[in-house]
Amino acid sequence: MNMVNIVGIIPDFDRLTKMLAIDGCMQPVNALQEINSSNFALKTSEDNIEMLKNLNYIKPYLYENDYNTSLKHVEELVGALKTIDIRVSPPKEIIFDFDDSEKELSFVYNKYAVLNKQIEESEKGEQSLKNTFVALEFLKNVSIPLEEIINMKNFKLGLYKVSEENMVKLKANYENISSIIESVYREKGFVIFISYTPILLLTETERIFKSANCENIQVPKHYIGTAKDIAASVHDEINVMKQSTWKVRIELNVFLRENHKIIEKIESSYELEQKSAEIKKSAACTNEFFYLSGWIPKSFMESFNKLLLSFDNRILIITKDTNERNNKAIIPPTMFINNNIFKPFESMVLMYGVPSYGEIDPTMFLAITYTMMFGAMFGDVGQGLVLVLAGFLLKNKWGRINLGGVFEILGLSSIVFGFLYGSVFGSEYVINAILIRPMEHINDILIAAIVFGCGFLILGFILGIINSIRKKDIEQGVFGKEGIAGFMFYIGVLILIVSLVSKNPLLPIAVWMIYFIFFLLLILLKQPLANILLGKDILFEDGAKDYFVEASFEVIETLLSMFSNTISFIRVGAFALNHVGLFVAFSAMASMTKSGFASVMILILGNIIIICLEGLIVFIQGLRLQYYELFSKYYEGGGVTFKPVRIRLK
Amino acid sequence: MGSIVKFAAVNSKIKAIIGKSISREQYFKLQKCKDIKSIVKILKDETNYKKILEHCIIEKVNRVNLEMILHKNYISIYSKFINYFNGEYRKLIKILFIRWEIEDLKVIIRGKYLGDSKRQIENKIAFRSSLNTINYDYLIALKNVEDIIDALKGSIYYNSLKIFIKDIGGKNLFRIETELDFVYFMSIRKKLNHLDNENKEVGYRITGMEADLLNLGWIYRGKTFYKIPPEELFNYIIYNGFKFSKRKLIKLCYANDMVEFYNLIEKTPYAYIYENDDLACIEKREREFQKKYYKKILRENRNDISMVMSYIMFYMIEVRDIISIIEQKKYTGGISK
Repeated sequence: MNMVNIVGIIPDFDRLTKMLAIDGCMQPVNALQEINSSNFALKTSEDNIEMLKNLNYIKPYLYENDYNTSLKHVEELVGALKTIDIRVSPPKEIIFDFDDSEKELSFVYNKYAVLNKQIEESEKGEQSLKNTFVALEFLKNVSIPLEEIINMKNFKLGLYKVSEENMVKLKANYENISSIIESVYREKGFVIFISYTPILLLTETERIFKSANCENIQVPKHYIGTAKDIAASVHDEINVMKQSTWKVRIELNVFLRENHKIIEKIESSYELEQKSAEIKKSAACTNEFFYLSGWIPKSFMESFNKLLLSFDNRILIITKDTNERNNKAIIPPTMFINNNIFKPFESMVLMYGVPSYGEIDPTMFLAITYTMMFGAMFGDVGQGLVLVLAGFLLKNKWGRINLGGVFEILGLSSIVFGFLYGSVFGSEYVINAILIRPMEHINDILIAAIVFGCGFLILGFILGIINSIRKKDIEQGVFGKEGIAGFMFYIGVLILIVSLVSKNPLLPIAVWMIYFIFFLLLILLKQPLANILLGKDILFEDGAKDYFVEASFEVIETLLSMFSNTISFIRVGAFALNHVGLFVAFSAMASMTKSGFASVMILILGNIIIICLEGLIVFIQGLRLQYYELFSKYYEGGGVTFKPVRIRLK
Repeated sequence: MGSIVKFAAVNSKIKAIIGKSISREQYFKLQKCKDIKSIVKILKDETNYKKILEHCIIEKVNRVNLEMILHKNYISIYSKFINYFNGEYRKLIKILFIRWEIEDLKVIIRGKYLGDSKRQIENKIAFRSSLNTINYDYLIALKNVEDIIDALKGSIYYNSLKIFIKDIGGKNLFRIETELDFVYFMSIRKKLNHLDNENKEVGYRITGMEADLLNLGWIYRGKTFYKIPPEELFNYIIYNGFKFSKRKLIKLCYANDMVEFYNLIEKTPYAYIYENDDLACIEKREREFQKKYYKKILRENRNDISMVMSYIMFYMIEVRDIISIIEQKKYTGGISK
């Protein structure tokens, strides 16, 4: 990972940030913070003199383009595009200049808005006609022509739409409202009512209606005849209105079809603007120059340099490796680099934590050991095949790439161990075991599990020691219980046990005792020893008393945890047995039933249960061994992920 | 059993946080402070606000950013509560947040009406968060109130506000605000209806009190300041029948003067609030009343939604109390200058 500081002239700034967003190679950091930490040091040469002079007037870059309204418009257009069925292809071009995209957007949007407005208006008209129609239905038995009702001398006919809650209020206060109210239509949430108000009290009553949020529906004045006749003509009008709405809708669809490429281009352009704004907001500037800082992984440097070529040397960059930096407040981010086989397992590492920069990425180690453990616990050719298929489907059909990838690999491992154990869908009669039949060699399986566990733990120790050395952490790396001292102790214990079991003592017990006590003492005194080695003035950072209480518990914990961590691996063997055991139970049940069909069903059901239930248990137990027994030895996971600003062109 | 599973965790969490809220003595201490710096210092050294003020440099804190910090903290605690629930309860807790969103929306609408600048409005907004149902940036970028109402299309507010698009005046601003409060109570009530009877009842107990207070406030202000006729006033009421029957509310709206108004509420628990005919005093007593009310519910420690609902309000009162202490300092500080 490199920290790259970029200085250039303001006119180039917009284009550069946009190209960076398209390239997706940089994670910006606050440039002012970087400048203040003096990592951002420009060489004092004649070429840089202008830039250096300007450093005195530096301020944070103020991003001023206001695109909130435009974004809403883009969203509307894209939303409209989704209503018509068009295959979206990635836009071939993108607009770099903000003003240009604003212009293009307003051109397209204005046209769209006119059509959309027309649709809205005519839908509104349709709705109001419908409301009138409903009201007329109520009056249909009145034989007096409507115009006479409308033009009454002393009363005014009114038609209102109001929410149910407000209708309740009007009813409650009916005695104080000088009007006759009759509700004519109810639908979810609202009520339509007719009111007859004395003309003298009209203003007062209308004010009350208005305060209850009543929406006035226009009573048609231009019709003549009884309510029934008018209802019929209103009905016709509704149909005409519907047709005109439909026509405009088609017109709009044609417009969208013609312009969908432009709309997609505009959408991407605004996305680019937002991404570049994200970069810009971290930058600093003076009147003439901009200053930008960010992390770029070494593998991306080439494409970054290529990108700079188009600026004809107008841009100055200072690249610094993480080791050369003295501002430790900005933590370098971590980027995973794994091949396609191990990549799915990154998600399992991430569940625990992101590796800190410089820490060994445990993905490969986890992938290999976890796959082996899973296969050993769940060794079956048939069931493994099911897992592979499930993984394939997850990956290709449902888009769960990580989970699918993990399933595929675990399934393959299960198949391999299935051949070693000679098991196909639980049955041990189909193929011969290449290596061992677990149920017939219970002790061997359990011991083998522990032996493998020891191997994994030793690897864990080594990785942990390497990590500590990289961090230059002598206290943990050399004297810690996960460091060299702990490791030597563990190896000693293992050798002693092997020599005792094989009755072939290498060294007298007294020597062993001295050996163990020596390393335990190192662990007990790790802090003072490390401080002496580093030449620090103090021996104990938090006082001797506290330190010894804590450290002596740690020693006891070391003994316990080494024992428990090792024994823990016995579960790998136990689950291999369990796997067979579960199937034995189902096959016993199957052989007890008399009908062939039932026994086949039981076997199928048994296999489903084994795959789902035991598969899940084994999955979790394996993860537990990784996280608790192994990660605690060597992995800290306190880093941050590398998140470049990147625009995803569909 | 079900309610224990549902509420035990969140209630213990709430009890733990209540233990850390500002005590009476600490309030006195804050009140005695001379300026905002010493207030921040006390908050930082002696109260549970230690954590959120950890990175603050006391000299640089001003009223606006302290308010922002307090509100941000409120939102983060609020968001945590959501994670304790699922289904209808989760929806309820989420919808309760619109009470604060509505406050912001009122600020935006009022600001646009008065022609405040974007920055001025931004400074007054307090509850921008992932819990919002509306896009603040877009609304603030718009030119006038009509556009804002139009832009609310698709949100829960639009249906109640669309009628105002045609005429927006000073008086309608009052109506827009009552309508928005009405939307809040209706949405909560709809959500409460989906809960089981026990929780529905306690939900009503809390929102009922809030609605009562709001109604009294509207009637009081409508009568004394805006001179709104009683028929209209009644239409602005949030009707729920907690301590006031429909009849009683009508009577309150039709009260001829403040004496009659007070006589009508004399026998209710709210009488104390309106004993004194001074708006500042009424607001203060309203807050005191709410605080006592929520405290009582919190003390009951029941295994239902009441704890969360009251704590959400209780905690906001604490935030408001701190803010008003600061405002007071600013005011008196100005005089001494």
